[in-house]
Amino acid sequence: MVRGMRKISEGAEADIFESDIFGIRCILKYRRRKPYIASELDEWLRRQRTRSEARSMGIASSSGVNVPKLLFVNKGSIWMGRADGVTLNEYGHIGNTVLSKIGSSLAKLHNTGVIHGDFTKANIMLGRDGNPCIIDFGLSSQSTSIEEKALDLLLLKRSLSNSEFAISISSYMRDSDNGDEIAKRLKEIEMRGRYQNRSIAMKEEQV
Amino acid sequence: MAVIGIESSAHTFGVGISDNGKILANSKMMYKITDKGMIPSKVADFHTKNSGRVIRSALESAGLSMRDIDAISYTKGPGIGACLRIGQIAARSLSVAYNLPILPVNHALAHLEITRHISGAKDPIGLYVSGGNSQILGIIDEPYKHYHVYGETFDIGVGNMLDVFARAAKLKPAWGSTVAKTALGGRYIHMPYTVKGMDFTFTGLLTNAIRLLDTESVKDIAFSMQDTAFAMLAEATERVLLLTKRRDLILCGGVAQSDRLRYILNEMCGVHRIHFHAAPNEYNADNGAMIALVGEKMFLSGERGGLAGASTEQHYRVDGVRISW
Ligand SMILES: Nc1ncnc2c1ncn2[C@@H]1O[C@H](COP(=O)(O)OP(=O)(O)OP(=O)(O)O)[C@@H](O)[C@H]1O
Ligand SMILES: [Mg+2]
Repeated sequence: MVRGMRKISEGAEADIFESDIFGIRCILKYRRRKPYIASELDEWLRRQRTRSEARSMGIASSSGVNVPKLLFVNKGSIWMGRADGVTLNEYGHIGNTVLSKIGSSLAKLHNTGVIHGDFTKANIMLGRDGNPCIIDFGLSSQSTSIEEKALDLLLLKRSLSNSEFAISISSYMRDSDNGDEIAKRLKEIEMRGRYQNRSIAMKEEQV
Repeated sequence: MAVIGIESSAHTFGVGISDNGKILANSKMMYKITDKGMIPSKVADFHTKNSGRVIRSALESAGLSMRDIDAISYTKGPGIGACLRIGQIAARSLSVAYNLPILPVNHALAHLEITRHISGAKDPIGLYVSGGNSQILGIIDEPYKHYHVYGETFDIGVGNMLDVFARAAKLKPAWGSTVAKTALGGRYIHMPYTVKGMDFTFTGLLTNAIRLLDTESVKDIAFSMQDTAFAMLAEATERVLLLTKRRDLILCGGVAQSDRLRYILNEMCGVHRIHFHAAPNEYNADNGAMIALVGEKMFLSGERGGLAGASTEQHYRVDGVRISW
């Protein structure tokens, strides 16, 4: 690839490189080709995700959510500013202020119609400034669906401990435009989903 | 040390024997599914009629008699209630007749454990794909040693999706392997692709595939639906592997018999220099050997069981099972 680039991470769909090619420290997220799946599907996924990632980061940033600065987008590649620190799952104890900011960030995203799609500790970075930075909008979409918003919350809930989530959800409820409805849907999803093991029930129904 | 294991969670009645981690027997009889699917009570009758014969056949191929057996294990769940009960009754009868400990085994755990056992991988991520289930799991120690579910289907299992499609498309016999054959040489048509981090859903894909039957060729639909589903599974699994930094992937369950799925996962693992292992097909299909193997592990780690705890549970979840070995 380009000279002076260092691979810093190998994600599920992208390789992340660090470089100072624009004279500032920046990150290149390059979506790998997956030659082992149908090539049309691979092309579609790479293009569609790069595009929606860039679009969501743009919307997020203009609605006041802390995300990396978008520098340049080109089929399959996104150049962005480097976020400080490490991801939250490599972080030890997460303070209450940070947990509360995480809830607010998600509420702001949802208020402007951005669904993150993979809202877990692995996709939140935290540095010395104590301001969580939301990354990886690769599975994001633009939607006003209550269900999609509740699923974002469910992913966060499963990624945090109960007491951590309690703090995040309370700031989410404070800042969300329709937090009550979304929280109610979250409860419904938990009732009908994995905890009831609906998949087995269906197996029995159709035999 | 020999343990006999009985499996009857769905249409297979299987009996296996494990002796110090070696599988000495893996006998089974399968109820033939007709185009109408299977009726639980009919399958249960089939199991009742054949249970004695399969048990004898297992003992014979191991060259053992019941006097050589130290414990009995059976599938407690998940599965179809009426079918599970036949295996449970057979196990309870043997336990009483020969005064042996009886150990209830989780079916999903058994698929994972026999695959892990054969692979030799110590700390793998497991992808368990069957009719009713599609889950990505790994053993963690907190709050007790168990298989943690990192990701799973929000609706139906991938095998279920393939079977329902096969029936809608009037393929014969109507199950997943026929879809695989039909898919060979198909052209790609775009289909809904739904991955939420480490979880996924299949109903949107299935509905779309069935709707397309009016306008597109079955071959193209079968190919596209199958490849989309397998790409989704591979992506979610890849995310779990990278998150957990584990170096081995094991694949198990009925759909693990798919060559296409194995190819995709093997290539995906290759990119990250992760080792990929799939069990031999006789252990991906439902079987008694895996129940015997887990029964033996439970027994060797000191579990003794008893008639009082020898129940069945249709929705018995794998992440609730404490691993004592
Ligand atoms: N802007 C950034 N600044 C600093 N580090 C970053 C930045 N973007 C990504 N990273 C690092 O790269 C890792 C992977 O990034 P990202 O989650 O966007 O990729 P991915 O391939 O979509 O990941 P996955 O699909 O596995 O979730 C992050 O966990 C983080 O460590
Ligand atoms: Mg990520």
